[in-house]
Amino acid sequence: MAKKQKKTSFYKVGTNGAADILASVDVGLGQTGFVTISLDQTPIVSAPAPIGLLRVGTAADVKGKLLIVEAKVTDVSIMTNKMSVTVKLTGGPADKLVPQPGEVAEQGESILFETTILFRQ
Amino acid sequence: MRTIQPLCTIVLVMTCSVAALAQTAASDQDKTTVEDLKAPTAPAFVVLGVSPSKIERPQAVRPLIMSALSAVSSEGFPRNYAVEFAPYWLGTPQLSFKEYYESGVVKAIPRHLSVSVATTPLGKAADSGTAIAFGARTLPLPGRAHPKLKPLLDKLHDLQRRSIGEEGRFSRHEAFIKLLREAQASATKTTAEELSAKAVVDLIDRVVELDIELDKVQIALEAIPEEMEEAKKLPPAAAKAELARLERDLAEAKAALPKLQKERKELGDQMVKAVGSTAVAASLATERQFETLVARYDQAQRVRIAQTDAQLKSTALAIQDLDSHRVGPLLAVATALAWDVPSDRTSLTSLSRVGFWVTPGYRFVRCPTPEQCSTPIDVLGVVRYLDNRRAGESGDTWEYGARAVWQATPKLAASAEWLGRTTDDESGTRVVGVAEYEVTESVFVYASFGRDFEEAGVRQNLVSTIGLSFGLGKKPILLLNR
Repeated sequence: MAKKQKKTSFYKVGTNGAADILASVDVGLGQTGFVTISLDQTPIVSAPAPIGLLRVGTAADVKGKLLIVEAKVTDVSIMTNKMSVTVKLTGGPADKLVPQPGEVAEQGESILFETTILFRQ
Repeated sequence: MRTIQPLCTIVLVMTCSVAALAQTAASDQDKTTVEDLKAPTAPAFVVLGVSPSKIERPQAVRPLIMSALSAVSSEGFPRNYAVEFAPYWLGTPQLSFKEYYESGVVKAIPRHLSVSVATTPLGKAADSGTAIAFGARTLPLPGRAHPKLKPLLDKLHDLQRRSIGEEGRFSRHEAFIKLLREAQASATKTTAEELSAKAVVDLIDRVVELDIELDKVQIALEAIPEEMEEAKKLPPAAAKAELARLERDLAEAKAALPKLQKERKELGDQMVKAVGSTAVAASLATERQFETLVARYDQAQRVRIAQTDAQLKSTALAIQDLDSHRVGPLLAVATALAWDVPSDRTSLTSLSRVGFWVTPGYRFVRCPTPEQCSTPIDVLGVVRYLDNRRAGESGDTWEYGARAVWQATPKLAASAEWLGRTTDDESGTRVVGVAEYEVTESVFVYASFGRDFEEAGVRQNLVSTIGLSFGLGKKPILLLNR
């Protein structure tokens, strides 16, 4: 069975309900991955990384909802077997980075990273 | 570039001598080729002249420190230690795949930098000392992505998307199997609950109780005869009373044993009736149904995921391989320094060897479609400088050369190679053209013609050879590497 990694976090969207909440996803260490982003059960985007500053919704819209970022990353680098997925959230009172590092045991293997972020006021 | 790397070959050589005294048999020719002068991946090992059987390749700072610490012995310098690492990749750089491929010179140097360190004993004696070498290699011009990279990346992303669909959070297969497992667990729990009905529980308790009673009676039956023998040794009155008591106990035990055994035997039948009075049969049937469903769908899901993973891995390895087959301008540089530490006394340390390599090149590939590319044309230049300062071996050597390789068809390749060498007391050049044809996977015909290095009074410098090479291994003999 393929390797899976999960991480949960939360993001404070603040009291300004009209503020746009944005998310970006980067795959580091010279690796490449495919990313799907959903808000609760609603798909938002499905594309190869990087996903740059995507509007998730207003603070009022996303409050109490779950941002689910799934990234399948494959070791395509001859330099390292390490990999990482970083979700960046902006639009709230403070920006937040949610990094998730990983490492495959053998060349060419993949990891399915799941980052789940709850939007809180 | 082209290298002849047979696992094991048998070579038949026919030397066409123009001059009667020509002595250019393959065995006595100078074997150095342009390939040997390329910037090595681990220059520290080359400058020391070692081929370590074990090379540490840490990928993070902590393993690197641990490796170095474990190598240092209490007796001094580490012996036969070899480590190779890429400093840039020891951390977690936020570098995308695209950025990695589009590195300019300034960024490419650290990104492709690899450091090698090696130690080796200076002699066979335990106190002879240690030679230590440090080397570095990088690619200021790593080349452009191979045209085949884009379609491979598209394929990889497609497979990754499929993989998320198959095993991600919203995968219906995964959710279905998860639910089946939970239902199976629930059915197992129901069976367990049915089996915990009072009638069944009472029977279970009675089993425990009866087994204890049976043990007691059986042990008593073994003990009483021994106790009777002991009682006979008592004074007559006491003996009589004790023997009478023991006789009663024995009779009771003998009477109790068959009763207990009978009751114990009947418990099985009672259990059948007790279970029959519950809904265990129905819940067991449900449990078995879910067991079958879980086994069937879980197996199918595992096969589906394994197939996608296998395709992902083969595509990823093909992408990795293309990193070593970049096109356009290429430049590799390497350097290494070695020191001798006689008797491991640092006060006696002296610089013993210096090496420097520069390997420029250009690779051209024509791709009418991204999937279909021509075989590459490689042009390679090499410069190697080696300075040996060790007493009794001193001397520096400049070697330089160029080579063009053209793989006209997948089976036919031609190359032209020029090599020059300047040492303290001699200099010379070699120009050779080589053509190789792959007859089968392991049989090659090759022909070479040109002028070799000249050694005064030893041999003339004509190179004129036709050969047949039989590879006994499965590994291809012809390889095109950077």
